[in-house]
Amino acid sequence: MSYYLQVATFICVSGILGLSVYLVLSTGQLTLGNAGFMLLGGYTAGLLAIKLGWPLWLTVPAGGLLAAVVAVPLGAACLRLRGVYLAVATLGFTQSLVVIANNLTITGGALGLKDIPNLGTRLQRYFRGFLAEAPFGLTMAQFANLVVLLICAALLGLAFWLIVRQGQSRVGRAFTAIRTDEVAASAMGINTTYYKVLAFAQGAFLAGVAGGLMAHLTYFIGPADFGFSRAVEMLVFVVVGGTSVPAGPVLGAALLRTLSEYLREAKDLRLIIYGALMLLMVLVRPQGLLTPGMFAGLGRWWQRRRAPGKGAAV
Amino acid sequence: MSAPDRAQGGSHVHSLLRVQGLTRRFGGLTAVADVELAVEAGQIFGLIGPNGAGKTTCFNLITGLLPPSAGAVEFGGRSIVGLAPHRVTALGMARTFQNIRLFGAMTARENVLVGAHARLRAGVFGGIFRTPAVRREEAAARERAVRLLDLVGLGDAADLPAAGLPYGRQRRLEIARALATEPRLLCLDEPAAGMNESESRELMDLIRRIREQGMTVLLIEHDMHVVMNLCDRVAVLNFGQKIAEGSPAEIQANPAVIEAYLGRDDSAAD
Ligand SMILES: Nc1ncnc2c1ncn2[C@@H]1O[C@H](COP(=O)(O)OP(=O)(O)OP(=O)(O)O)[C@@H](O)[C@H]1O
Ligand SMILES: [Mg+2]
Repeated sequence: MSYYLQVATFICVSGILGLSVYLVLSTGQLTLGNAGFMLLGGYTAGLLAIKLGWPLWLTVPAGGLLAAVVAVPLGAACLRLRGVYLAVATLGFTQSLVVIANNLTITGGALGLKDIPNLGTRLQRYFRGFLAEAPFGLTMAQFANLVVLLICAALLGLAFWLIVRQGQSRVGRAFTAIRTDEVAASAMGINTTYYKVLAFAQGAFLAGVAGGLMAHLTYFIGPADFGFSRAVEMLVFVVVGGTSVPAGPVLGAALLRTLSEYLREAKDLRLIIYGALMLLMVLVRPQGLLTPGMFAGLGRWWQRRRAPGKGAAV
Repeated sequence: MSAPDRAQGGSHVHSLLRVQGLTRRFGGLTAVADVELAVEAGQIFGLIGPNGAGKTTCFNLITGLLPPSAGAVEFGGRSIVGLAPHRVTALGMARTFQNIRLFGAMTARENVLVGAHARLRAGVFGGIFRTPAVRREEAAARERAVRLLDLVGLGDAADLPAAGLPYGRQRRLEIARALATEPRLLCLDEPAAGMNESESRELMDLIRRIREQGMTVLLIEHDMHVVMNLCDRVAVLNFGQKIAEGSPAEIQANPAVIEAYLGRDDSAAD
């Protein structure tokens, strides 16, 4: 029971990571930097909780915020680069944060951060304060894990909703225009640098939040959690699930997380399978499993339903 | 053409667009060489010349997509050299592309809404939470988009993806998208290319209507019929240099122009 709850929780966190890459990709930029932002968010949240005793509802957004603040100058500098060069530069950022985390005393070096306050444990203690017994016939630990899952699912849902709504707005149109044709977008009056940096910082924020959640879901984080393979993993979520609808990365995260649970013992094999899957997708279905076309009909139906009688005016 | 009388620019003071000494080199090739242009408000100004003459490059220099190697561009009395393209657009200059550059997966309406970007204000917060002000703005923009689509004859295509439209309609969608930026000067790069006769007649009507609405038009066009019927004034480029300028009738009679088009020799520029 608790095992499945945990897997589902990690699927939610992975969904947030997938969305973080999706956001940047929605302006046509390929980033491997979100593993670095995740590290930043994870260590920030962990350290704020350990050293300063901040409550967890503050440490997680603080990690995201710091990541976003770092992303603005980094994005302004890097987003001049295109395609593979941008990917390499952002990977460089990720890897240098790994090296830094490996070498600072405050981050615990290669051993990482230990004894990070755990969300489930905190909740258990909190519930014990006023509940004699967990509801639904669950043990208190199970109940706490369930609440943790609900929190992470709610955060994923919130991120998803924000991205969908933004996508339907003027900002979303600017993102899509830039992704389709940057030159034409700028000729249409769009400040392409601004929107690319915006998407980059938003992606960094989500990655930072996911990092903070990670820190508080496990008791321990270390530099090795945030390197190259993490950067690739997030990218695979999007490539497999779909690069042009927000539901894509969430589906990708769910599928690949589940898959990797089956492949738990074979850690190296996992990366090979990720690589093979990515190759397969790029060759067979480069747009990913989910495409905008699948949602277009749904969107039309929704609009008709919301504006009955207004049909004639449109 | 030498430049003996550059000092007496009195009549140019009110030009909407004024280009001086505009030059652009690509490595050894001078695509645009010391070009002067003065487009007056309300004009339909034609820019013609054989293939590779440097017309599109001129557009790219004027709209800020390419930095000039030398020269000055003034728009509405203000120097715009070095401004990013989106700033130039915000000042009231819009363009279409010779090799159509629509946002293919977006609908026609969305393409026009992208054109309206600089005239709208909704930011991240307003866009996500759809504040009353943003709803109003968006509704007005959608209405305007439909009106522009109607103007170019695409009223029935509002919800179709741009990439699926036939060629001639894509060209007109490019015009609607450019109009959505609310330009004072509209730069059209070969809008009649690939159109049949009735389509290009419709296009001429459209361009006249655009001018009647108070806009100035700078037009690159190969179709001489369109140019001669439409333009108040025409400048001719050949090998990057302006070899003639005048009324359509003058241009048609100009030996240097005839020579450039017949491609007899490249001594025309002397
Ligand atoms: N980005 C570039 N890099 C190198 N050379 C270029 C570039 N853009 C244009 N040129 C060259 O500059 C010259 C002028 O090109 P331009 O596209 O401006 O001509 P044009 O008058 O628009 O021709 P057409 O009627 O065929 O559209 C051509 O020789 C072209 O090859
Ligand atoms: Mg051209």
